Amino acid sequence: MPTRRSDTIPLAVGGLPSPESIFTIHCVSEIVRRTQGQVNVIPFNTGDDSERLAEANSGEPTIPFFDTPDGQAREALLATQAPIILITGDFTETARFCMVARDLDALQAARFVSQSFSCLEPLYRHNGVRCVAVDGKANLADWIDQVAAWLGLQPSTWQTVRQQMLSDYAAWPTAEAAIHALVQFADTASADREQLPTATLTLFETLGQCYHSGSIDSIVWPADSILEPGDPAFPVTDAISLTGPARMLTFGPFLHLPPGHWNARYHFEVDQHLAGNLMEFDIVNGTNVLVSHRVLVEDAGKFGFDCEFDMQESRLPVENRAILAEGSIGGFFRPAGIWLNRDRPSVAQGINADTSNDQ
Amino acid sequence: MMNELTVPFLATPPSRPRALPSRQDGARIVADGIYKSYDTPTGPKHVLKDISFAIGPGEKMAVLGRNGAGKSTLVKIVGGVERPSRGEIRRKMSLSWPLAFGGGFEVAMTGLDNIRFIARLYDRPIRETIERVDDFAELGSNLLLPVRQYSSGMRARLAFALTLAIDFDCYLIDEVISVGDQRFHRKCHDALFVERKDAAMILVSHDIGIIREYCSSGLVLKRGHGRVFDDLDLAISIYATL
Repeated sequence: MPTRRSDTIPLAVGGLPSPESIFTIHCVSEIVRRTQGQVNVIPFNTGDDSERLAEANSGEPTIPFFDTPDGQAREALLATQAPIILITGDFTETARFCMVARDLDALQAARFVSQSFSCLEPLYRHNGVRCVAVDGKANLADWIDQVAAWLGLQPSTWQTVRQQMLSDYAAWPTAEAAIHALVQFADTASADREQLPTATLTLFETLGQCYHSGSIDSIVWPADSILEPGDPAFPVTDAISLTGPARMLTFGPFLHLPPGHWNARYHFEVDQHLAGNLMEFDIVNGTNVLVSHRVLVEDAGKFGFDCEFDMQESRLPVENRAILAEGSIGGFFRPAGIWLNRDRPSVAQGINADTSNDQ
Repeated sequence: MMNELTVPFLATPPSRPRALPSRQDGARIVADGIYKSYDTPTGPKHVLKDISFAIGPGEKMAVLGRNGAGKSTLVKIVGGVERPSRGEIRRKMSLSWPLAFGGGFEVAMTGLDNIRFIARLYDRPIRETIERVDDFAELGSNLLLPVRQYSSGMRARLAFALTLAIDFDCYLIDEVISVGDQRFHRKCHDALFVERKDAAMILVSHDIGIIREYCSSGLVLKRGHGRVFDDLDLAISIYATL
């Protein structure tokens, strides 16, 4: 158990935007406030937030809260030498919570969670970071006990608060409802959280496995997370006719990857081939084209196109664009998914192996 | 099979005049699985691979493709100037040679003699044909000179005028309608697209304006393969990004 390193920054709390993480930061800040007086809770996700942290950290305890820290923010968090607590929840529940709380559709919610996790992943991998998995409401009592003990608080000073908060929390049927009741959470909820689109379930399952393991070194973006251009764009559900002018065939899925050197293999199938088709595959991070290759597909069959790229900015989404680079007189294209493997995680984004936070 | 021309009619003219195929229902020009390859020092060059299409009376099909895609080769094969390596052309309506193609002229003969020869070959009245060619080509007394003394422009005008004088059911046009000066160009345009608006045409052109105005379908050639699109706009959009 790390010891408390700073009077002004008792700890930093990060996590996916889940009911658990939101309620946890609420509990932690409430305990600190009731036992030590005023406490500032400030969002801390980018290097630009460092100034705000310095201003806030002028006497009263400050708890930085982060869900999508960029490289500079991660470096600054480690530099404070404060304990860093990361909270993970169930991926699907977290994504569904985002659908409700932020009024996102399922794919958008998956992207939101993927962004958060990819930004947090270097911290999860860092030895000095304590990762606490909260599995629903049942573990909240243990979790709060741990945080309070970590903060060095005497049980007499926080047990009453804890009991009261848990009691309040327990009165609500779901974590989301508790959040909305107990925390001033401004966003409204209107998304249909009862049904997840079938096309997104595979993606949820794939991402969930990675997230629950605490790291992403290998992941598959399924075919139905890849999009076809349209107004609005829609997930690929069938073979795409190549016949027509040069154009973008597929793009997306606008998911996120942790920093590092990645290999991507785009699996696809071409049938009823005629005359060969010149294809271009781009990996794009935000608006930056990381790698671009052209391939002349001269036969029908199943193909895998490989490329390598360095991921620097996990806050920006990644997409793979499959482009028909010249007009086609025949053929069908069917993406089969994107297989991604990381050769080596990047430690260049502020994760200092020599930090005193290491255990 | 009486109405079917199965041999190139300029490269190997028949020994006696033969009747042109009559205009009739079901008359078509059919290209069936046309392949064409040439031997080169680096091996065979496959220009056309399995090209098939059909043209009915009055239909106008554009042939689209990048330079070197095989458009002119296809037109020559359809017109009987070249033989396919494989496949066949079935002609069930009268079909011109490639417009302004001068390869069928006997260059030692005068223009006038060439007109007489071709009029006889296609069973057309000789005097009327001469008058029509003379009127259109505006070659005047040059018709009395051997064709070998013609400039390329004069030769093209003679061939163009002769093509129009024979009055075919289907015309093969390979980028040569800009023969001569602006006035003659206009004259050719009107003769082809206004006066013969009911004729079928196979038109090779990079001029999208002409194709869009006069054609109803497009054959797009790419790496030797071809596909006919009834949606001309789609064919043009593919061609534009080949």
